[in-house]
Amino acid sequence: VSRYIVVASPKGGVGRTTITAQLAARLSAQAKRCLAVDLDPQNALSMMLGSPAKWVSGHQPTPASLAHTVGIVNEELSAQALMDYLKARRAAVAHVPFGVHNAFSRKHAEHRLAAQPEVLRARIEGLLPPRCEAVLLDTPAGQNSWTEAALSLADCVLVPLLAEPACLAGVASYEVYLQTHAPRAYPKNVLYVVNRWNPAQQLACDVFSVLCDSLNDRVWSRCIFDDEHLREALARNDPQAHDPGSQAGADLDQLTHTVAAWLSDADTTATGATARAS
Amino acid sequence: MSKKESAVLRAAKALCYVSIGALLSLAVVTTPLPLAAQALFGVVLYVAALLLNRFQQRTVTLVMMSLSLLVTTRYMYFRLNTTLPSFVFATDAVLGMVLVGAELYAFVMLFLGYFQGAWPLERKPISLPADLTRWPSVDIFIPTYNEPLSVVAPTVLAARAIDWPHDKLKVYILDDGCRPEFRAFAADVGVEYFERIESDHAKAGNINKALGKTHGEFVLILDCDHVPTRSILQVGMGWLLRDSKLALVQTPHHFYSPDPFERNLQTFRIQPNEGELFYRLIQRGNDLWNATFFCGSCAMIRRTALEAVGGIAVETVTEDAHTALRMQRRGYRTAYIDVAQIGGLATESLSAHVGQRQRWARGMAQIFRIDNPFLGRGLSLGQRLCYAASMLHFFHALPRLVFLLAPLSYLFFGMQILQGSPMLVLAYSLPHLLHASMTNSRVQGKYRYSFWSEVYETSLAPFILLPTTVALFAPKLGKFNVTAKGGKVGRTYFDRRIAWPHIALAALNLAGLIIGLRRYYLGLEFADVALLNAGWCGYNLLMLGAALSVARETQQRRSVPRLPVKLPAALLLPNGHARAAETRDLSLAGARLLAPNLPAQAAGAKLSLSWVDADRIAIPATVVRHDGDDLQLRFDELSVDARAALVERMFSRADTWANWHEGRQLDLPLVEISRIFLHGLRGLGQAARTPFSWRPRS
Repeated sequence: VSRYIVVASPKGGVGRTTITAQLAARLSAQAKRCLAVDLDPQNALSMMLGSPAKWVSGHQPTPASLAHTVGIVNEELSAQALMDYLKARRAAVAHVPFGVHNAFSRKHAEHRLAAQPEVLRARIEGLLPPRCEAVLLDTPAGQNSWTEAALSLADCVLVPLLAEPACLAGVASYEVYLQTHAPRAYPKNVLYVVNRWNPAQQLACDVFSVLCDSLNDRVWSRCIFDDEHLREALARNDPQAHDPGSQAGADLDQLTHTVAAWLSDADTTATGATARAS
Repeated sequence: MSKKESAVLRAAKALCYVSIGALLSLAVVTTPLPLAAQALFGVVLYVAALLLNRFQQRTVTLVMMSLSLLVTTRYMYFRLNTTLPSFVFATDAVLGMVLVGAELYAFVMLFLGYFQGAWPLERKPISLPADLTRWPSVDIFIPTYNEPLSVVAPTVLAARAIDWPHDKLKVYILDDGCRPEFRAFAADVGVEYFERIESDHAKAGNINKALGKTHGEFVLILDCDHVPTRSILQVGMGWLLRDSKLALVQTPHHFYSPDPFERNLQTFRIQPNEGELFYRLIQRGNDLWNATFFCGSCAMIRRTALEAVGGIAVETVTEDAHTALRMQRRGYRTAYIDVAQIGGLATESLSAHVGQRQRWARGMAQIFRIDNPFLGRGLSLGQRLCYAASMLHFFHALPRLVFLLAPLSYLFFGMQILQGSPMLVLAYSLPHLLHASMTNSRVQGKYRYSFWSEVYETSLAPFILLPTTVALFAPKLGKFNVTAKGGKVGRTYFDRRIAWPHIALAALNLAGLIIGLRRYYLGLEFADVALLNAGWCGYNLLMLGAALSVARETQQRRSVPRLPVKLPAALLLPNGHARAAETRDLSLAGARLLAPNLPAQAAGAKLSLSWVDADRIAIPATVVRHDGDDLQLRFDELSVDARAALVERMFSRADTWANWHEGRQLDLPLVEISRIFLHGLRGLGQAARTPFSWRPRS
């Protein structure tokens, strides 16, 4: 049984995609079978995982041409087609891009999703590699039908935040949002992760204290440090670059460890539940 | 019925065994033997003890103690019966009696030492109730008088961080010096501040005044340099909650800076320091007899018990032990938990060390005089013996000086203060010395290496002779002196002012040694007696030399102590990179880190140090040196929060001191005596070479 880990946040630009990509890469490196799925029309995840979606230059894509592209937005995508696509691009981490789209196809997909959120599960399960342990879902920022469909599947939600007053403001309403749309994960399996942490800024420290006070044990006890290394790696188009001295890298290792522990934990409880049921 | 019968039977049996044992011992003690037989007897018993020593059981320890006491008693009996000088020569007789008196003192102390070390309790902390509302309120008192804020601040910051319900913990700085910067600091960090204009009764008066103004159910008293871990209260308070007649729980004083012995002899962390015997063995031994006493700091005390005896005792300068004695007379119990929960500064120079010991010696002598543990009501025999042992210990000065001078009476003046053939005296006394040495090494070896007691006593004896004697006859004279902490020895020098008594004693013993050897080589009359006394002088010389080598004050490189702290840390570079590193050691002035994969940093480069578990602090620092993986930082101006974070990193972990004693070798008496031999030679050479370099005035 695969677990669904959703990376979602009330505000954009806090590092959702970076965290999803890094987690997926690190879990794969640990020989955990996982699939990262990009639900964000910006298509950033596939770029980070080394396979940027190809735009057909010079002409506007039509629904007919889109039907053959690889992406979650394409209802016809088969597991075989995905496999071929990943192989062709030598992708180290199994992932599904959002896919090439235009306003029309995206709107269409969103309408279907809003009407029948369970369609997403069916589509993802059709794409799962064998014995896949974890599905990582990257979502668009804020409150939207993609995120809601993802949250309805979520076994666990990671909420990246920045230690800034703007992030603080959105947290209270986001709690209500999570409570409504992620009934399985909320509240025990929701983990707020402070990203781009810089303790040299007094304001950041104060915001962190307020965060901890309002969310107490649901804030990850560590942080992901603000580290130029991650941005530089992204700029070099080499996001998985391993740098043993990078502090953010070490923090992401630790977060991966936490998620992995949570995965194996969930396995044992699941088996326990099955044993009790039978 | 049968139960009663068996009890009677058991009692009868026990009585039988005891009387048989007593009769046998009496026979062993009193039967005189000629030289050869006595020598054989000594060898046989010693071999038996050597064999016994291979077994680790506690009962074997008790048997070895009995053997040692038996042999020693036999020696004392022989000594008193056959070797006392005749009364024909008055001076010989008087000096002879003085020597016997010193030996009797050593005999009593041997017995009391075995008594205290026989069965050390290993009391473990017990857990507190899960319901936090049942945890009692605690006041933490930090008395200070003239110590710099840099010494007191870490203690206050760490006390603030102790794990205890916030509404039930209050930290008080008790300032006898009325210093405005202390008041400001207390306001800054949010602790209470009491000052006292009148400073009568020193620390005791300071605490008593604070007791009158506070209401916590318990008080934790911390010396101003004793930085607590966050767990100190949870370690100690369990027992106090369980037993309402328990007045106090004492935990050890643990020093993380070298004392003058450790610094000047370079033995820091290599061998046990002077305090370890007391804090790791004797107090545990006392605990068995419900006779652990308060040591002035690191103890949690029940307020009602303290108030029942009228607060901290003010009549003596060791108010701590005296207060505990009073509470015990009232039927209160005391307990000792040997889990180091504070880190303190050792005295920084020999003269400061001597001053502190003078106060302890005088105070203990005062208590012995005005509140003698053998007299008065309310104590069990075990308690009386334990308290008496701790007090009598400080009377070692006179006997020690007698041993240092005794051989000279013969070598210089030809006085016969000890009658009898030298070989026979040796045949009786050697087993006594060897058994005592082996048994003590077995009991105390882990906490004090063999022969080091002699070194410590030799170096202190000249200085505590007067205070103890005066206190014994006029217990009210003299006042409290505060031990200086947190200072620094600026340069290496030989402290001749503190060393002159030892120089004089060493000169006398050297003369004695030369006279004795000369007489032996010239084959004069009684050459063997001369040789024996010369040997005695030689041994004295070594001990005096070792004591002298402590007077050579080695320069201290750092005024701020560093502690080894291994923690993952993050380095924030000005270019926006954050690098993973690990701290190696930390002080309030700087840090050393293991930083692999760090781009080369020039000396003087600025960066910030932070910790990875969201400590919410970044400490601005300057690079001192970056060489390979090794990075040394100096902190820039520290905010209160930064200081608090550093103090917590350095001192607050419950296991901060848990592994301090690891990796030491076992006590090997022969190794130790040769080590003291080398120290002795070095000390004598040092004393001879340094003509008149007086201690610099500051």
